[in-house]
Amino acid sequence: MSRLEVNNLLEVNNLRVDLPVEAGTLHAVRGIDFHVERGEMLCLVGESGCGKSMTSLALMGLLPRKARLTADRLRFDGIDLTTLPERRRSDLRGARMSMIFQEPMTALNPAYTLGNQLCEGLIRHRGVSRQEARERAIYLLERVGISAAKDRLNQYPHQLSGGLRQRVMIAMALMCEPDLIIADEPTTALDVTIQAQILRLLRELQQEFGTAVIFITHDLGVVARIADRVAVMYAGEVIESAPTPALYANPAHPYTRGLLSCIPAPGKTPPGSRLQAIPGVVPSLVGHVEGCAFRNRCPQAQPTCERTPPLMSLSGDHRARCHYADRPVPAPRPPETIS
Amino acid sequence: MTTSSVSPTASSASTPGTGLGEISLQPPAWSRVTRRLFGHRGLAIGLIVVGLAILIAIFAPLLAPHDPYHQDIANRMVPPVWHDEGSWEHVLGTDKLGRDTLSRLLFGTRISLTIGLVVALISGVIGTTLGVLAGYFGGRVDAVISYVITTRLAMPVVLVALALASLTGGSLTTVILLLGLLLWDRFAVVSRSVTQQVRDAEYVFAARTLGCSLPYILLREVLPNIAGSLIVVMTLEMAHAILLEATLSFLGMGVQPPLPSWGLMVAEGKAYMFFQPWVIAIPGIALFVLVLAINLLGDGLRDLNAPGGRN
Amino acid sequence: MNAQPITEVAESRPLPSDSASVSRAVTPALELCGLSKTFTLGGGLFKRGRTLGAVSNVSLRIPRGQVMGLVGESGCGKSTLAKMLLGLTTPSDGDVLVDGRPVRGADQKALARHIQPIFQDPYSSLNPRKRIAQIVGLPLRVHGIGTPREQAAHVAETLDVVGLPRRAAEQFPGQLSGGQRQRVAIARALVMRPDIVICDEPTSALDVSVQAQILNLLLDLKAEFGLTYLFISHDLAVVEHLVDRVAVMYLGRIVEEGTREQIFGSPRHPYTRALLDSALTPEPGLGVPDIGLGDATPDPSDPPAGCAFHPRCPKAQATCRQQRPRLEDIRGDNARVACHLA
Repeated sequence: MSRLEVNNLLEVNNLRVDLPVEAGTLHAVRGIDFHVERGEMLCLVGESGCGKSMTSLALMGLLPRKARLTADRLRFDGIDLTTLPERRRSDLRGARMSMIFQEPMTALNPAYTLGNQLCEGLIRHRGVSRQEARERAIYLLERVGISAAKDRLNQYPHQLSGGLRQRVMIAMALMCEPDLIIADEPTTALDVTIQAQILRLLRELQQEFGTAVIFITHDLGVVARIADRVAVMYAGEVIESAPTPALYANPAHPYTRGLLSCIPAPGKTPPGSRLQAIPGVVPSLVGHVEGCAFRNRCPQAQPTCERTPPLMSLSGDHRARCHYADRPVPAPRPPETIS
Repeated sequence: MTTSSVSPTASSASTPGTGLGEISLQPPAWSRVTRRLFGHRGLAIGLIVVGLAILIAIFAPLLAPHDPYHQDIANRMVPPVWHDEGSWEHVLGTDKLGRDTLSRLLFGTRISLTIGLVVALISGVIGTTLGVLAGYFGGRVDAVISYVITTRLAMPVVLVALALASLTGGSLTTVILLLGLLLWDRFAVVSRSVTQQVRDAEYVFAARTLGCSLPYILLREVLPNIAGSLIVVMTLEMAHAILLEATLSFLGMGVQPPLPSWGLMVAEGKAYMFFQPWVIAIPGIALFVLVLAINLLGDGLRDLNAPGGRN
Repeated sequence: MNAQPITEVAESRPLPSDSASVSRAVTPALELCGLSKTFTLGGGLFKRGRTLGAVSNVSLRIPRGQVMGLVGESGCGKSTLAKMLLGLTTPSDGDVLVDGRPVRGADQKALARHIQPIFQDPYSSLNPRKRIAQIVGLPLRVHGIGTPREQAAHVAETLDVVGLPRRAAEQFPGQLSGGQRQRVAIARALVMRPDIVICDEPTSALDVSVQAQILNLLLDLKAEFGLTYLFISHDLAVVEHLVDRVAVMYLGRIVEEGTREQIFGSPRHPYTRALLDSALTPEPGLGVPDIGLGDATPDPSDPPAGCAFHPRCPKAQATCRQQRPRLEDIRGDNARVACHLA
């Protein structure tokens, strides 16, 4: 491993997830590469069906039984996750890698108290006493801004609001001091004012505890404000990845550019004007997918795009999967003649 | 504004890979249906056996070697063909009055299936109406109907059916009516809960906003969307009705002799249970197989209908 | 596309008219007067339940052809408000005026000719067992407008208008994508050429790239058919892009109302400011601001005394805890705010 790679907590190379469905095989994730350094916040951005949730489940080892996972490299802190037996995998889960889900309503078990759910992981993974676990739970609940923490331990999930439940989920994820937290759209179901508070909290805690976070979302505004690095997914692939300022300043992939320009930007987009929409829809990932998956919607598609585009390296850590990421397009086609 | 700006040219109309273009990627509907039906073992078995039973019921006169009512005292209690004294004349033997067991079995299918179907229909209509009304309106209507359902659930069906049948005397019609009026509870419970889910769907709001009449909303918007669950309940209640009829007939309060009801056949063979077990074993096995098949069918339909998601 | 006149076979009963007739140009297309809705929770046969004031004394005026945005978070009453406008719930108090004519006592079908909804969830707003042509044609059939052939032609035309291919008519909703389903919902809302469309978070459940398509479509249709929109959303960037005026709701009341420039440029109410601060624009390097709202969560069934916002307000004073501020016009501006400190 080169010196640059030593700092990587998570290394993913050519991860593929296939799901057998009625009509054939769904290639939910089609060979993605990314890495997460210790203590950094990586955002995985994409729209529905791009494979970001499947990726998070693959990393945690929580894929549905019918799914098939392959990867050239899937390493967590040097441990090879593909060959790890399930028993050791579940040791990792919760202790060193934990997950925050989208729906706090369903992610917490309504039949057990909060204290029970918070302490369960720590007792199992670290073998601490119940008393010690409770103390840590109280400390974390206070840290995430929940008042009367000691009383809360005896409360049930239904007694809390959505925002509070999500804070409890964050506390639960932090109980065992994990190295990596995977947060799958944790604020999407919350009100906008609560979302801002939770995001701020997450960022603070992440920096304080030095935890790496993979934050999955579809909201480019959130990404801009909290991410250190961004990976944009489309149709099962990472089509662009870069440090946050670089991605927003110089989006290299036409999809990223399209996404950024179709959000109304207050102050920049004239109100009442037509937004620049991305035409068409995502192609089906069932069966063989050839060439660039974006070419049927791309304003600058060329005949070359029928070949699968390589991962082009731009300056620094900025990479994009496009034939024309770093060079001008030969003869830009007018939109009507897209094939 | 001109026309061209209203219909986005590059939207769904002209580009490939639109949601609609993807229809052609899926295999044709009939092969999907068959694959789903037979991919599920229980469902396949249930479907085949029940289908066979229906065919037997329809073609019983052609299939039965003898008249099920014909008594031949000279040949009473003949064992089935696999016994030393059996013969191919009466493949499954004869009963105490010399009637051919096989023929009675085949004709008995008619009785079991008729009862199952008609009772399921009657109780289905009663239970679904009550359940949909309770689920859709909620509030006081729901409170009253739930009270009725709970009362019904508190009744031991067999005892009540027995008591009522003894008042009116047993017969095929009595059995059907009684069971139809008693077995609607599961329909009501299921349709009530499914209706509660559908009631809050936005397409129901849309219909209400339009000013659609209540009967229209219940029949055309709500009912088709709860039909899946109800079909499952229907198969289960069919099996239930068949078993109950057998029980009633066995106790003498159901179908009366000489009708070839399987339950009656068991009752009539009771005395010979230890020395000529085939007389009750054969109709008993037939009951078991039919009820099992219907249950498998119901389970299979429920699995098929279960959250397959939005497509 | 020219709006073809629809041959009417059956006459629907019109809304009851007001005695004073106002010229159509000046009358607001939609006016809410002191609209309120209270629910009773948990009452039994012998026990009286708690009251929940979902909407309290909401008054709004939406001029013809304009877009009024309604923003607020969960529990603010915007969905209940929408239902009252559509005739799905009867108001406990106050009235709705469509074109100057009160809605109270009007026939639901007559109301439906003027106001139509577009709902949020494209997956549950279409009956999965019906074909698109049946879904879009339902309003025409229910109201008895046109012969079946005319209906079919009109449905096909409306599908064109919303950018769906004609072959979609024979499809089921399950075969369409989210964006296409939302187009069907829009087609259904427009098939009777209403005056007012209530858009209840029409793009919240859609992907960003599809959202832009639908927003463009809504703008085009508004211009084409002279529609008036009440646009309910929590996405402030979208609201700012689309609307002429905005009303901000909190726990059942309007706390601020004004033009787009006023609300987004110089918000007066602390809640409006907090909402705007929480809207995270895609600008890196700015981090997540501290909204300063504190931890208290609003409970619609147990609103705080005085100003409903005071437990979370960074600027709360003694008056705020005791007395509820009234929604008052700001002198000189066409705006209103309900705050002691504004």
